[in-house]
Amino acid sequence: MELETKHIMPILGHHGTYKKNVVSIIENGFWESEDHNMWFGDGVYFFVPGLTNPIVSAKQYAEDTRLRDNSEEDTCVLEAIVYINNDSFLDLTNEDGLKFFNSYRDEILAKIELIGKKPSTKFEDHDVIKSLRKELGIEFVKGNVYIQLGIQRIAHLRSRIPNVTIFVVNNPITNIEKASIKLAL
Amino acid sequence: MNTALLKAKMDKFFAEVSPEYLMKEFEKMGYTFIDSNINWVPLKNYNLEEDICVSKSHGFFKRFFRNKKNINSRKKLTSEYPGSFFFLNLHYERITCSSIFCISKSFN
Repeated sequence: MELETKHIMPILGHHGTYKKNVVSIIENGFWESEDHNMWFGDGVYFFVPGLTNPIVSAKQYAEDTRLRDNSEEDTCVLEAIVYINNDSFLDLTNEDGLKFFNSYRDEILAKIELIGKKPSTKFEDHDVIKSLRKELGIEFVKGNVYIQLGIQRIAHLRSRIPNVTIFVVNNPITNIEKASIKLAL
Repeated sequence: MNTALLKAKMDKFFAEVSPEYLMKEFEKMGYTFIDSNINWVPLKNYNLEEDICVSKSHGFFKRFFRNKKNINSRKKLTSEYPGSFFFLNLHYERITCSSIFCISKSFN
């Protein structure tokens, strides 16, 4: 397709995890979560610059996970460089990306409506993104979301106002530079 | 993000894909489909900026007040609805834009 640019740009992401996972990740790279039913679906998640300091958010997320798991394990933050191919990047932090996503979702519903059908339950965002991955080759999704972190988790605070910027990448073996993975905190 | 490329891919995909294929793909994700009786009709194309600019009064808002059963469209959009929330669904060309916004002051 002539519109393809193959423009590649690096982005530094931060990933909160248990210290026990560090050696394996540095040696073998990240692995994708599967059947991930939150945020943007399957992939490797990073906090990236945007609404918060990504290192702080990643550390808080790891600590919250530890508390939720009732674990004694130490936590840490890894950083890595992800190489984004602009042609397979969906940026939900800007209006163009949001309009595109909504348009894609509405087209699916409108198409199915043509044969007199509708989903019996609500369409989840992560499933629409799963479809985008399969049909349009999306591999990178960035967006502002709300995640209960720290005091928000303690207070069980629910909100529709995003508080962090996250980034999910598929095919981590090819899209994440393994040599760039290192301990950040 | 290459918006032009993604839009071109999307147009091509929806021009070629069948409803049955889409249903099957989402059924694989655990969805079920039921008969629809919503008689969905796309709204006419709005130009949001033009509408807002032209109708400095409350005409624009009244237009979608009429679709809200629990809101009295005859009331002026003044102190009767301080801090009210409105849901606005606009269709412009292929794009559907949904917004929730709050008006906390009168239009006087």
